[in-house]
Amino acid sequence: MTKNLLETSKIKKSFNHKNGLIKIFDNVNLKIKRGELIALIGPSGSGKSSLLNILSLIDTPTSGKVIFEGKDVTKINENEKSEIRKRKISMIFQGNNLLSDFTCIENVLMPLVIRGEEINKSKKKAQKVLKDVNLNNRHEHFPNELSGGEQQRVAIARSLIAETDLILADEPTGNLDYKTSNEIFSYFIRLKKMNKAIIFATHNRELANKADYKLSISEGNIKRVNAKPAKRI
Amino acid sequence: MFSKVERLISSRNLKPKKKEGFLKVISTFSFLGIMLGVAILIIVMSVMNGFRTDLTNKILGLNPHIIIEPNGNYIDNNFEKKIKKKYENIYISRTFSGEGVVLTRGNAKGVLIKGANYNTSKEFNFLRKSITNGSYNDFKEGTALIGVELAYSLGLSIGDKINITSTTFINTPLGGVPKQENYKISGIFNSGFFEYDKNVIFLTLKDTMSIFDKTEKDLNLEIYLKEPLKADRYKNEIIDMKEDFYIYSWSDLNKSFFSALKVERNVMFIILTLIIIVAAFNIISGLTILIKNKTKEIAILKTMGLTNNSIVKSFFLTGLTIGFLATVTGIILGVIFSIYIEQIRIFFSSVFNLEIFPSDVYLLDKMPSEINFFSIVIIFLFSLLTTALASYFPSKAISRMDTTKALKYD
Repeated sequence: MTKNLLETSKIKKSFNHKNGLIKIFDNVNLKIKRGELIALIGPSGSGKSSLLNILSLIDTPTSGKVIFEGKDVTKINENEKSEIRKRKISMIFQGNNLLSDFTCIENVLMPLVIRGEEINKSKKKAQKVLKDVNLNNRHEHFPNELSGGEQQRVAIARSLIAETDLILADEPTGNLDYKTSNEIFSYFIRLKKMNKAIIFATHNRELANKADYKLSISEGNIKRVNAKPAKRI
Repeated sequence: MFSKVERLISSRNLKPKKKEGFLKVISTFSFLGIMLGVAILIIVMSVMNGFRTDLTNKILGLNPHIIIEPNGNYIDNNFEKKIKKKYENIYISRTFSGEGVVLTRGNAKGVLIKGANYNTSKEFNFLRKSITNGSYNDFKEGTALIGVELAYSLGLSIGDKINITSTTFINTPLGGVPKQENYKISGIFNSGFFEYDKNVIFLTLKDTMSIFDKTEKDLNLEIYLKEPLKADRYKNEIIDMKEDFYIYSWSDLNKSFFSALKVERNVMFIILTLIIIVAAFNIISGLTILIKNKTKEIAILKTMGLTNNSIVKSFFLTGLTIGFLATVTGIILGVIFSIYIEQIRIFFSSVFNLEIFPSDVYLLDKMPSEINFFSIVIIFLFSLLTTALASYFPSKAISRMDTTKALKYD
C-alpha cells in the first residue's frame, strides 16, 4: 500500500463575519498520494483557495488535522511550517505570483537561495530548468516583461527547481488562452511523471477532466469525482 | 547575522522601480536628512570643542595649573623638592597674588595684583606674546603690566603712572592706613579675555611682596604641568602628600565657566540630534510604504518557506543600510567641513562680503575647530541606533501580516 503524502482528517473552516459565522467547508477528509494529479473544481467562492491555503500550511483549519508525510502538522509552529514549505511544498497562483523586483532567473533560483544554497550554483541549476520550460532567452527579464504564459512557466520552473513533493496551483491557467493553458498543463503531466503530487484548482472543465480525479467543492462539501459515478468522501 | 537571501531581498528593496518614485523621494530625503544631521552635529561639536580648547589654552596660559597656598603654614623647600622629585615634567615657581585698588586721575578700579617672577620665562611665555603695547623687556621693579581693557577704561598708556593701594594696612602715627605705591606702566597686554584684561595687573614678585608686606614664607607654590588637562589628578595626588595646605587647580577656579560651556555643548547636542530623529521618521514612513507595496511579494516569499523572521530582517536591513550609508557620508562630510572650516569661512566672507565670526566680537582670530574621535563615535552610534529603531518597528509589522489576505493583495 502506497503511503499517503498528505491527509486531512475532519477539517473544518469557518470565518467570523459581522453578519455571522460563515462556514467554508465541513468535515473534509482527503488522502493524496505521490504521483497523483488532482483537479479541484467548484464555483467561485466555494473555498478552493481556502483549502489550498490550508494544505500549503499558510492557513490553519478551524478544527481537524492536516497530516503531512504521516506527521500531524496542524499544531506545529510557524517556523516548522516554513521549513516544510521550503522543502516539500510549492505554490503556483493565477497571476502575479512572481517577485517583481527579481529577474526571471532569480525568481527561479529563489527557493534554493532560501534553503541557503550558493547563488552561483543555484544559477546554473536555474538556467537548466529555464531551458526545460523553453525560457532560455528570458533569464534577465523582469516579470512585467513576460507574457502571462511565460510567467506561469517561470512559476512552474520554480516548482521544478525546488523538487518539492507537493505542488499546489490556484487557478494556474485562469488568465491564459486555450493553447497556453494546455502547454502549462503539459508541465503538470511532467511533474506527475516525476512522482510529484499536484493539486490544481480550476474552472477549466477540459483540463479538470485530464486529471486523475477531481475534487468538487460546493456548499461546504467536497466530493471526489472521476470516471466512475461521483462518490462522497 | 544576515543570510544570503535576506541580503538579496534587502538589496532589491534599495533599488525602487520607476513606479515607486514616491518611495524613492522618501528614501532620498531620509538619506539626506540623516546625512545632514550627522554632518551638522559633527561640525557644531568640533567648533564647540575647538572653542573650548582655545579658551582652555588661554586660561592655562594666563593661570598656573595648580596653586598651593600655605594656609597659615609654611611651604618649605623640602615639600617643593618632594613634588619636583615625584613629577619630573613640571615647573614650580613661588609667587603671590592679592587684591588692590588702582587710582589714577580721579578714577579708581579694584584689581587682582599678580606677582611675576620675570626672570623665569616659562610662566610668562603667554603674557610675553600678549603684549600689544610697550615691551616685555621694560618690565622691571617699579613698573607694571596692565590689560588693554583696564588701560582703556582708566585712559592709561605706556609711561603713565598709577597708584596701587593694597589690602595690607601699615601703622602710622595717624593710625592704620592701606599700603600704597606708585608704578610706571611698562606694557599693555591683550589676552583676549575681557575679564582678565580689565581686572589683572602684573607687578614684579619683589614689588608684590613689598606692597602686600609679605615674606618668603607667605608665598604660594604655583605648578605648571606639561599636561594641564590632568591637573585634577595631580592635585589629588599632592593633597594626599600633604593635607595642611590649601591646594586647587585651574579647573577649580573656572568651574562655573566650564560647566556653562559643558551645559551649552550638551544642549546643542540634544537639539541637533533631533534632526537625526526627524530624519529617521522618513525611514519609518518609507519602510511602511515599501512593505505595503511589497505585501504580495512578502506573501509569495512566505509560501516558498521564507520565515517571518528572515523577511523582517531583510526589511530591517534595508532601513539600516540607508541609515548606515547616510551616517558614514555625514561623518565624512562633517569631518571635511570641520577641517576646512576656516577656509570655508573666508570663502563665504569674500563671496557674500560679510564678516562671518568677527574676531573682535569672539576674541578668536580664526574659527576654532577640533575634531574629537570620541564625539564622532557617539554620533555614529546614536545615528545608527536611531535608524535601527526606525527600521525595526515597521519591519516588525510583517510578522503580524496575514499571508492568506496578503496573497490576494494587489
